[in-house]
Amino acid sequence: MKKVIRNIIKGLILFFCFAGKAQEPSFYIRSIRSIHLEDTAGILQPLRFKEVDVVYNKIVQMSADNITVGSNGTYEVSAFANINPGVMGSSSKDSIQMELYLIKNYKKPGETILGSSKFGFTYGNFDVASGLHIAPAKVQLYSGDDLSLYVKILPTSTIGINKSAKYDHVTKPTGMDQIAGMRIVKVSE
Amino acid sequence: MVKRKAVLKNNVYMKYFVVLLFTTNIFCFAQSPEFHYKTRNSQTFRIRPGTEKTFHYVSMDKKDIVENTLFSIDNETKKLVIPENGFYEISGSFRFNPSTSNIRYNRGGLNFGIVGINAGVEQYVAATRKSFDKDDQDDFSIIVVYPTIVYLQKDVVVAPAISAGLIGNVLLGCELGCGKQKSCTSFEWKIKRISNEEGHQKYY
Repeated sequence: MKKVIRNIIKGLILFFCFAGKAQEPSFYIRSIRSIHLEDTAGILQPLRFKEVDVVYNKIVQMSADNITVGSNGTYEVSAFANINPGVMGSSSKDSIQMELYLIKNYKKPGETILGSSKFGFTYGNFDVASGLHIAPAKVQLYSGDDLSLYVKILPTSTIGINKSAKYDHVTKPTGMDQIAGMRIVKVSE
Repeated sequence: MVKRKAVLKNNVYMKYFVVLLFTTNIFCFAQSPEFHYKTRNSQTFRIRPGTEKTFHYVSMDKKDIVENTLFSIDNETKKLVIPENGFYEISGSFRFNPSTSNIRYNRGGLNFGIVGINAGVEQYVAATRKSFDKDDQDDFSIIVVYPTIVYLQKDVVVAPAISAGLIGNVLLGCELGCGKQKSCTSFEWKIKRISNEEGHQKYY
């Protein structure tokens, strides 16, 4: 009987150890601050997150605003940013094209664009925020890989974005709180 | 002989214990509590400029619940109430037609997502901003809310909704639906509890 009780205790220890680890291997971060963009076409402009922006994290390391994957594996990654150029435009021929990129190891060996999303703002909608969304995609990542989010104003744009230093283009759209975010989920080893 | 009987008895206890352990694991951890809703129903909305704080909730039909291991739902249920504090992953898709030709050269921003209602305060907890323009002002578009992780407290009510973001003209008969397609998914959403850890979250 003592043996049975001892085995039950062992089992319960294993059970609770397992239960403690039953967490979704995910990471989700979103900015709660709006972000300024420069009116410079053709240049990648970073959308920086801070540690305080982390909602849920079981798989990455955050240090000095870097999002670094902790182990090798197949991951699902996605991201978004809500952007408002903040200008009016003067004719129906005007347009602004922007692209959002999720990049692995920017300016490091193995730099790769993991996903992107493009949007064209047209006359009448220059001062309306639009969501640029990078759809979930499965990618292979290795321990130490950095992930970051960038916006580029494409050179095909015919007018500039709001040039005021006080204007934040990545911002809460009217009626919504969401600004920009990134999700990483480990799918398999 | 007595010793042999005791060993056999122990083995029987162990078998029961192993079965109990596996069963508990299956029920507690094999699947995260989840709610999945999918419909082909259509619904029309009247959305006015300057009413961005008004949420137009999407009607749901209990027969279109695909899976539910998360919410307590019976015949009388009118609201989906978060059962316990935790981190939840939310996603969805809306097949929507603004049904107008007024967005050409005008403002066309609308919001689609899941609202959390806490102590009477309504706020999108997962949402997508779609800015319609001349190319999709009178057509069905699929607006996707990609998986979003959010911390929700017990008793928060969650519900899908559309709202006016920044639009120039009233949208009188905009539609969530299938249009001429006889079979499609007009609206779908999922919410899954991924952790019951304690936490907090500022804003959303």
